[in-house]
Amino acid sequence: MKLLVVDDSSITRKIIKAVADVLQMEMEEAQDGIEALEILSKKYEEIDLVLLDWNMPQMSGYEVLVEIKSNDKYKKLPVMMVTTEGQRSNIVAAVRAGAANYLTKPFTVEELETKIIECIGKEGEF
Amino acid sequence: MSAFSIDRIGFIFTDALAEVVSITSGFLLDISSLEDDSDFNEMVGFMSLNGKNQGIVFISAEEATMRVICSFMTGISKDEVTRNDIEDALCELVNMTAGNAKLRFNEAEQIYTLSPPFFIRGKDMSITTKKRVSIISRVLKNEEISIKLKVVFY
Amino acid sequence: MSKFSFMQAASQISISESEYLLFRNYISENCGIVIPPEKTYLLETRLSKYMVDTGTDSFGKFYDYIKSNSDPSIKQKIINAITTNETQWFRDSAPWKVLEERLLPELVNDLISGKKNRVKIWSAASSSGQEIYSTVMCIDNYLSTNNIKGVTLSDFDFIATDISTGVLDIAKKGRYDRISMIRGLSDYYKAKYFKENGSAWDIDPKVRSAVKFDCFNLQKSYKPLGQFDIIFCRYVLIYFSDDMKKEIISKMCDVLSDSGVFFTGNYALYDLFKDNFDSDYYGNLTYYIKKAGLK
Repeated sequence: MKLLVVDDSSITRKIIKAVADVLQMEMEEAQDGIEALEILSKKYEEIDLVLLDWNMPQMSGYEVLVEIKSNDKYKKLPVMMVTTEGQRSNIVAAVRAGAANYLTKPFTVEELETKIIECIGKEGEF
Repeated sequence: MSAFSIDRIGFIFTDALAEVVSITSGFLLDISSLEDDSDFNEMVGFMSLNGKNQGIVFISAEEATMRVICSFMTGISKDEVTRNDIEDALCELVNMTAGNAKLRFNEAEQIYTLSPPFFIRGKDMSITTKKRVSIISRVLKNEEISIKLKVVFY
Repeated sequence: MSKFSFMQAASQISISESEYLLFRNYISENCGIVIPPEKTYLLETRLSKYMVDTGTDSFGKFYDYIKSNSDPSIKQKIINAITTNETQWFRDSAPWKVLEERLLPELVNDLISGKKNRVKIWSAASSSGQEIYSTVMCIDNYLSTNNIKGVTLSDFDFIATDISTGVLDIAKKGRYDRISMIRGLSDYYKAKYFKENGSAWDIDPKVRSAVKFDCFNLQKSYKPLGQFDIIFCRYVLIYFSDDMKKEIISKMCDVLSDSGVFFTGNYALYDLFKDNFDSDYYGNLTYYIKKAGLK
């Protein structure tokens, strides 16, 4: 299975990579929304889950989420927000816009692992 | 509702930073006060705070501390973490502390905006202003790491 | 949805005091944890997603939905979301030094002499398993480095419980990411008990299979779990009310054998233990020993 991580923080991408490794998932990385949408346009069939930060340069994660959910080719892809924005208004907006899950930073690796499994399926599928 | 006191704001940022460090790296830190005019450590992340009070929040650490924190955040050995990694780690600490503090302010219906985090690096850095300011200074540390927090109100 | 229309999505800015109290009580009743007022924001960050999933737009209506019992799975989702705990290998190290240097010599002698048939150890609120696996590794290492004949890991029962099913699933797999591996694990134990598997680490199957994991709520009766020689209940009591702390300690005392040992986290709770326990000290850790002759 494959993850697409969209976050301008290299540290966050490395943390998520450690969890992707333990779940035996491959990982693609994008530093911003534009790069993420380019990757998706070419590789959407390979991607099983998108992890998306909110505050990024050029395009916010929310805008990326709206774009993904309005594209017929990959609107069914599960998207999880992984962000410091923990206010209810953000969470409600993201879930209503189609986010499958929402994880507020800071998080433990256990939280990230269980939330990824929640998004994609049971442990036996890895 | 009246504005929070600067002591209360200082406590919120201190507690937020301690919680962020604990969750992301596993380190539990002891907190104590510092002299207002104490120098910064060589790496400084900061953000501005605007609302009923105005100020700047500084979080600083020596590279050695950030190397350890970064290692525990990512599982990469401290000899292998890069300069970019540790600078990014400090920015992320500032970012997450800001996010955590904002939630606490919102809950108490104290509306503040926080700027994105900025980062500078240097030696012997200190604050000089033309205006009278109030400063809350704290150090959060254990045997391995030490982080300074300063909240400067103007 | 327009760029900024999400700002109108929530019906109010923050949880009201009455909503906070409803959820504080619900969480306290269902898992014992007390969310203090200054941590109200945790309810928002951790539960808002489930609120939206139910089609409600306020925590008051969300509470009504939960109580209507239309979704039996919502309670476990809330428990899993609220109860996440950090954990590490050999946390604080002192309990395992006590185990190795003070407890195991006597326990092993009791097993060899037949004074005890088995030694039973419970890790309560075991999270993703590091505490109980640290204990298994410590004991196995003690037995092998001291060349103990006649006693093996199979003479020990290791029970690990947690109320969160998510972290229990991680614990049962015994597979850890490099971040978890760097926290508290010495090179010695890593080399002896783990095998690298890609960029993750699998614990030795003999360690993993020694532990029985169960979903368990500390508010329930402990009698079905049996009698224990050692209980680890670390960094969890702090989340409970004072009444719940007393209740848990009393119930754990009832399932501890005479002179059974109770390890807590590194914080002062002496007053809660003094009636039924003696205390001892090692490093910077106070630990508790059940007084002899108690019921």
